[in-house]
Amino acid sequence: MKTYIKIYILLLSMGISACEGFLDAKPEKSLVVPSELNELQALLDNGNTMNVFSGISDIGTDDLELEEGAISGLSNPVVEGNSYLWKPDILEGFGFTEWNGNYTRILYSNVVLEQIERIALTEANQTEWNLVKGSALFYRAASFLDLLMVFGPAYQEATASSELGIPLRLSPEVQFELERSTVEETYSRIIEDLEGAYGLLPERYSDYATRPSKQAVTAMFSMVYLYRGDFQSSERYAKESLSYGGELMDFNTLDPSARFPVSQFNTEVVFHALMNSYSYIRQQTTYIDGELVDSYQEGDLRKNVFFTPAKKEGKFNFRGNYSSGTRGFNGIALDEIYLILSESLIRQGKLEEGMDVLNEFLATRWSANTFQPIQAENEVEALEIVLEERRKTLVMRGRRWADLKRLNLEDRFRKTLERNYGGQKYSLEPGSPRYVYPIPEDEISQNPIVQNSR
Amino acid sequence: MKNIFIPFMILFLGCIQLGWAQKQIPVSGRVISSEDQLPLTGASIRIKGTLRGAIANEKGSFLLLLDPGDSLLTVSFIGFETQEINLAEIKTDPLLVSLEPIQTLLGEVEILSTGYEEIPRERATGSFAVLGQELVNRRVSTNTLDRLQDITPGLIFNRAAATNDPISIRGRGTIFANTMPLIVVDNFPYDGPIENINPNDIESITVLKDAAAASIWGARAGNGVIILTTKKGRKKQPLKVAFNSNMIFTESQDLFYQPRMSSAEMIEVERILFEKGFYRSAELSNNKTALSPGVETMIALRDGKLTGQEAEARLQAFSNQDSRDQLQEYFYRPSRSQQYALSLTGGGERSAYSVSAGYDMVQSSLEGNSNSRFTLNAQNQWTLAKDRLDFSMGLYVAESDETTGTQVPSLYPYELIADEMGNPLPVTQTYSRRYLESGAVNGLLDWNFYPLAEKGKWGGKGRRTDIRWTGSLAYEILPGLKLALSHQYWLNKSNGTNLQNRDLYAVRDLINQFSEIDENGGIVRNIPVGDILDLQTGESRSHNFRAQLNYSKQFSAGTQLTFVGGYEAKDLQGVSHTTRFYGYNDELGISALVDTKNQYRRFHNNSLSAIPSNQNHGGMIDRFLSAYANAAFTYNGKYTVSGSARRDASNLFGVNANQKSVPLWSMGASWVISEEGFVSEMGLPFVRLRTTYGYNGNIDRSVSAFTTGRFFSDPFGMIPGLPYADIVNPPNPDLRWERIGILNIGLDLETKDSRWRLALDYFRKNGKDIIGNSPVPRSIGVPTIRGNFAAVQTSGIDMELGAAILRGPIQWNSRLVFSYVKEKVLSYETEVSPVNYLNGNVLTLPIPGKPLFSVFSLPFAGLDPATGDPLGYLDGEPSSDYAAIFSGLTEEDVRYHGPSRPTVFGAFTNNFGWKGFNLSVNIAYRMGYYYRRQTVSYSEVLAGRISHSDYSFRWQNPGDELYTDVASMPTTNNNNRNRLIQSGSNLVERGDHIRLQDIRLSYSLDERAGERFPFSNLEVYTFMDNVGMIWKASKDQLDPDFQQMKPLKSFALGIRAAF
Repeated sequence: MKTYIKIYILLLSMGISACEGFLDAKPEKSLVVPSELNELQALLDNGNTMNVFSGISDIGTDDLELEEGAISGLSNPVVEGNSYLWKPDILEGFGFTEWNGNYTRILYSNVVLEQIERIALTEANQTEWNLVKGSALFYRAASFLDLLMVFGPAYQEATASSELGIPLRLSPEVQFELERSTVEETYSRIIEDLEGAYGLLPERYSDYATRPSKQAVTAMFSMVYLYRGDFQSSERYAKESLSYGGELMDFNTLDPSARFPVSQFNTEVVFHALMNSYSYIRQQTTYIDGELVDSYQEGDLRKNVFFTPAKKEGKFNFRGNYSSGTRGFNGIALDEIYLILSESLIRQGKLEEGMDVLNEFLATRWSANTFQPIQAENEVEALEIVLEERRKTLVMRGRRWADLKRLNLEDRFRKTLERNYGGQKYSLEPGSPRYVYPIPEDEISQNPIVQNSR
Repeated sequence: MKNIFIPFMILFLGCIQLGWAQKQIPVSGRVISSEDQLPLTGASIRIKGTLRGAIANEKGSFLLLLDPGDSLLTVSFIGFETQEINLAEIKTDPLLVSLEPIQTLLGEVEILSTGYEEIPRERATGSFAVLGQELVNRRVSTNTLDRLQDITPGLIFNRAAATNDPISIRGRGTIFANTMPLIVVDNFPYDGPIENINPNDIESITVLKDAAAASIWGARAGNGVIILTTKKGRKKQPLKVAFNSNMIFTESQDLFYQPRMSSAEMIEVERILFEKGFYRSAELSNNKTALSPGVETMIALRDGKLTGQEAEARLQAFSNQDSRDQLQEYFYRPSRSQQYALSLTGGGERSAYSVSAGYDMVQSSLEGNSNSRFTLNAQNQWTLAKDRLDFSMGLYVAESDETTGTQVPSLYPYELIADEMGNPLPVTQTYSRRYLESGAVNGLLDWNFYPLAEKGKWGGKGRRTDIRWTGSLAYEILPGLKLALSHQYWLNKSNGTNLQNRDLYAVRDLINQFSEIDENGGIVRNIPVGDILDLQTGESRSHNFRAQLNYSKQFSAGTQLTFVGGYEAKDLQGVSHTTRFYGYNDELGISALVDTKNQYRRFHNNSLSAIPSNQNHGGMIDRFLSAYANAAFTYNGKYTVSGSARRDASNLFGVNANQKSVPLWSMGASWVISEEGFVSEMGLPFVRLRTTYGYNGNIDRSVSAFTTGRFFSDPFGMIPGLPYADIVNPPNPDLRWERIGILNIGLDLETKDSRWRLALDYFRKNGKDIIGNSPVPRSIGVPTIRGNFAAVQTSGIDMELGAAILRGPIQWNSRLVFSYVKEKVLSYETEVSPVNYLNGNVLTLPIPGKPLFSVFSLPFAGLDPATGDPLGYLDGEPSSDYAAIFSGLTEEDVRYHGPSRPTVFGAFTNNFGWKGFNLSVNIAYRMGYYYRRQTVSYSEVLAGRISHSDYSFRWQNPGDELYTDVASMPTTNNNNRNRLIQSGSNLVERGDHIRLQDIRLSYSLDERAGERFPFSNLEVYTFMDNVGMIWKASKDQLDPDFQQMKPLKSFALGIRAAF
C-alpha cells in the first residue's frame, strides 16, 4: 500500500509541476509586481499620490479671514475650523491627510528605490534609469521637507539637534516602531536625497511638468537653505535653478476677465504639484486679508490675476493661480526662485544685486507703463520690501505658514495673529507651539512617538 | 496498481475456494426499488440467522453462496421496507427483489453526492445536509439559492450583511477571502451567476459541511460546498411530461418603513442653519451648488425677492409635503413574477434522456424595470459496450434579459415631482435654481431635471447568455475498476447597452457642462447634441477537465473498499470592455467623435475637465490544477473508515512558486451501532456514530507576498491619459494559504419504520492563518496591511429532527432544524484600539475572545438635565467631556453585548396531509444576537441633511430627560458628541425573534382520481412568504433583520402537472 501511495504522490506532484507555466498567468490584466523601469516610472507618474502636498497651512495664516459662520460650511469643519482658530486639538481623533499623503509618497519612493537596484544600469536604459531613481529621491526629499514644515518647528541652529523632526522612513519594509529624528537629522536626510537626485535628473522637465528635474532639485535646495538661514547656499542654488530655463510670464499678456487667467503648466512652472484638497481655499466665504489686498498698488497686475471681488462688498476671494483651477498650487515656479534669490542676496548685504533681481521679476507683474523699479535705502528696508513681495506673490501657495514661523524668530518681524469668530477672540503668539501641527492619533497608537505639545 | 491488490485477490479467491469445498449453491439476483425500478446500490442481502450475506453493487446485482441449510434471505436497504424471501419459493432466476420504499419523511434522501462520487448514506462518515425534490420545491421562487433558506441545518442567510456575503455555512471562517460557499452544478464548480440556474431543473441539493464531505473540493471548500444536481432521465422509464407554472405577487416597497424627520422639522433645521450662515458658502459657490427649495425661499426672502407672507406660505407648503408620497405613487408598484417550466424525461433499455425548458419573467417593483430568463436543459446518457461504457452529454443554456427603464431620483425631503394634475415638475439637482433661472444659461439645452418625465425612459438593457456543455465517459476496465473522463465547457457572454436619450437630464447636463460661448456669443458644444450610447461587453469561458479512477471491491457481505482518485484542471478566463459613443442617432445608426484627450472649461464653474470617455478594459484568469484521492473501507457493514487528500495549485499572483499550492486532507470513521446485537434489541433499527477531522482551504486573491501594483489610464488624472500605477499591497513575504481544520462528530438515529429520525452533529472549526487587516503606523504609507494575522474558532451544533407524528388518512410530519454557532477570534496579531470596537456591523478588526462580528457600545449615562447633552463615563463618573472620553478609551470602558449574527437559528416545519390536501407551515427563528438601532445623527442634521425621526423625541427643555434618551441638538457639530450618541449602549437591542416565514397549501390528485383523469399527478399550490413576526425580544418597531428595507410579503399561486 505504501509503495502505491508513494507512486501516487509522485505522479501527483509530477502532474502539477509539469504544468508550472500554466499557473504563471496573471489573474488580472492590470496587475504587476513593479520591477521593470516602465512600471516604476508608472508609480512615480501617479500624480494624485506623487504630486499632491500639504494644503492645510494657509488657513492658519494672516493671508485670509473667514466670514462669520463659514466654518460649518467647510467640507471638513473639524480640521479646517480648528486650524483656522488655532485650537489646541486640531484633529479630534480624525486622521490627517498631511501626514498620510506624504508617507504614502515616501512608500512609493522607497519601493522604487529598492527595486531600481535590481535593474542593471545599461547604456540603453541609462536615461530612464536615472530619471526613475533621481525622481524617487527627489519625491522622498520633498515629502520630508513638506512634513517638516507642518509637523516640525522652524530651524534654529542652536536647537536643531535637540528639537524633534519627523520619522525618516527609508525602506518599504513594514517596521512598526520608528522614532522621530531631530530637525537637523531631517534636514541632513533631505539634503542627502537631493544630492543623490541632482546627478541623475535632466536639467529641465521635457515631457511632463509633474516630473522632477535638476531645476526642481536646485530650487528645493535653495528653499532648504533659505529655511536654514544659509543664504550663500540658497543664492547659489537659486541661481543655478534659474539657469536651467523657463521664462517668467508677462502678466500683461494675461486676461483678468477669464475665470482662471493663469494657465496650467505655464512657462514658469518648474515642478507641478497641488495641495491636498481643502475646501477653504475655494469658498466664496473665505476672504483675502484686507490689508494684504490693499498692499497691492495701482498697476500691480497680481491683484486682479489672483483675486476676484467677492459678493460681499469690498472683500476679495482667491481665484486660483498656477493650477488654473480652484485647487491650490504648491509646486515650484520661477517666481518663487526669483524671490528666494533676491532675499538671499539682500540678507548677505548684496543690496543692489538683490533689488535688481526683484525689479526684474516685478516688471513682469506690473502694468507695462506704470512700473517703476523699487529703490531701497538700506538692507532693512530692502528686506522688508522683498518679504512683502514674497507674501504678495506666493499668496495661497502654502509658503506663508513656514515664513511666519521663520520670521517670528527675528524680533523685527515678529507678529501676533488675531481672529474674531463666533463672538470670540483668538490669537497666535510668535513662537507659539501651536505653529506645529499635532501628529495624528492613528500614528501614535501604533508607533509610540512623541506628540507635539500645543 | 496491480501489486497491492494481489494479496486481496488471493484472499478473496481463497474464500471462494473454501466455499466450493463446502459445495455451496450460488444464487444471483438484483435488488430494485418498486417505485422506479432503479437498482438499489448498497442494499444488504443477508442469510437469516447468519452473518453471511452480500451487498448489491451499482447495478443492484448480488451473488450469494448458500449452504445447504439456508432457507430465508433478508433484504434491507435504508429507507425501504425490509423484505424476507423464502428460498423455497424462488421462481425467477436471477432472483428479482423489489423493495417498497418506506413512506418518507420530509427531506429524506439516501444517496449523497459529493460531486465526485455518490455515497450511500449509511457509509458516509461526513456531515451532509440534503434537500430532496420535496424540499427543493417547497418554496416558490425564481432563485435557486432561495430554496435553501430556513430548511438547511447549519446554513444561514446573512440578512444584514454585505452583498458578497449572502450565505454562511456553520459560521464565517474567513475575514477577507471569498465568503461564498463553493457552488457545484452537476459535478463541476459553477463560475457563473447562480441566477442563471433555474430551480425547476434541480433534483436535489446537498450541502457539504465538514472536512470529510468537503475536503475533496480542497482549497475552495473552506466556506462549505453546495452541490446542485439537475434532473436526469432514468433508464427503462416511459416518457414522463411534467409542467409547472406559477405567479408570485410581492407587495410594493414601503418608502416610509425607515422612520425619518418630518418635512416641517427639516424646514425648521434649515431655518436655523440659514440664520447661522451655514448655506452662505454654498450659495456663493462657483460650482453653483444646489440648495434645497426651502433654503432658496429663505434667500429670496432675504434678498427682498419674496415678501414675508409669500415666503412663509411657501415654507408652510413644503412642511406639509413629503417627497416619498409621490415616489411611492409614481415609481413603485407591487412586483410580479411568472414562471413556466416544462420537462420531458424517459429512458430505454440502454439510454435515458431529459429535456426541459423554462421561462421566468419578473416585473420588478420599480415601474419600467423588468427581467426575464429562458433556460433549456438537455441531458442524455447511454450505456454501451456490454454495459461497460457509460457515456453522457448535457447542454444547459440560459439567457437572461434585464431592462432598466427607470432610476429612482434623489430628492429633497419635501420636493414634488408632479403637480396636482400629475404633470412632471422640475426638481433641484446639481445646480442651484438661482443659477438655472438666471440668464447665464440662455442658449443651452434645458438644464432642468424632470424625474417623472424620465420614468421608463432609460434605455438600459442587459443580456447574459450562459452555456454549459458537459460530457463524460466512464469505462469499466476491470470489474470494480472504472476510468471516468469528464469535461465541462462553460461560456458566459454579457452585453449591456445603455442608450441614454438626448432628452434625459444626464445627457443634457453633460452637453451643457461641455458647452462654451465663443467670441460672437454663440454656443460651441464640445459634445454634440445627441444620444449617448454606453456599451459593455463581457465574456468568460472556462474549461474543467477531470480524469478519475473509481474502484470498488466487495470482499464479503458488508465489507467493501471504494476508492476514487484523479486529476483536475481548470482554466477560467474573462475579458470585459466598455465604450461610449456621443452624438448617437439610433435611427440612422451614426455617432459623432468627441475630443476626450484635451481638457475643456466646464460651463458652470470654469474648471478644467476632459470629456468622460468611459473606456474600461478588464481581464482575468483563474487557474487551478488539482489532484485528489478519496478512499473508504467498510467492514462487516458496521465499521467504515474514510480518508481523502487533495493538493490544489492556483495562479496566485505575486507569490513564490512554492506558495502557489496547498495540500489538504481529511480522515473519518463511522460505526453503525445498530448492527451490534445489543442495540438492535432496543428497537432502534438504525443508530450510527461518525466522526471526521481534516482541513479545508480558502484563497484570498487580494493579497500577495511581493509588492503589487495596478495600472490605470485615467482621463481625469493630473496628466490626462498618462498611464500610472498604484501600489495595491506592500510586500508580505510570509504569506500563506488559509486553512480550516474541522472536527465533526455526528449521531444518526432512526426509530422503527422511520417514525423518528435524528441527525445530530457537533463541529469545531479552527481557522488557521486567516488573513486579516492589521492597522499599522500611518508612516508605513498605508493605513493597514493584510497578512495571516488571525486564528478563528467556530464551534456548534447542527440538528435535524424529523418525525412522522401521524400516519394514515391524516398525515402529520414535523421537521425541526436547529443550529448553534459560536464564533470566537482566537488570536489576532495586532492590538486593536477600543475605538475600533464601536464600528458596528462592519467587519474591520477582529478582537480576540469575541466573535468576528460583535456589537459593542459605550455605556450611556443618560442626558444632562440642564443641557440635554448625552453623557458617557469618564473614570466611572458621568461626563460630557467627549474628547477625553474618546482619547482615554480603554477596553474596560467599552461594553460588549454579544455577536451581531444569530448564534441559534433554524426552523420548525410542519406538514399536514389529508386526502389530496397538504398544508406546510414554516416557522423560522433566530436567537442570540444583537443589533444597533438607528437614531438621529446631528452631524447629518447640521450638514442640512435629513435624519432619523428620533429627532422629534430629542431633549428640548429641562425635564425632557425623564421621557427621552435622545440628546438635544447641539449648536455646532461636535464629532465626538455625535460618536457617543451613535455608539451609546441605549441603542443596542436583542435581535432574537421567531417569525412565521411561510405557508404552503396545496391540493393534488393522482391516477386514483379516476380512469379518465389524464394526469399521473396534478397539484395546485399556493405559497405565502414573509408572513409575519410571531415574537421578538426588542420593542423596536423595525424588524431586527430588516433595518433598512421592509421584508416584503409575497403570495404565489401555481400548478404542477405530470403525465
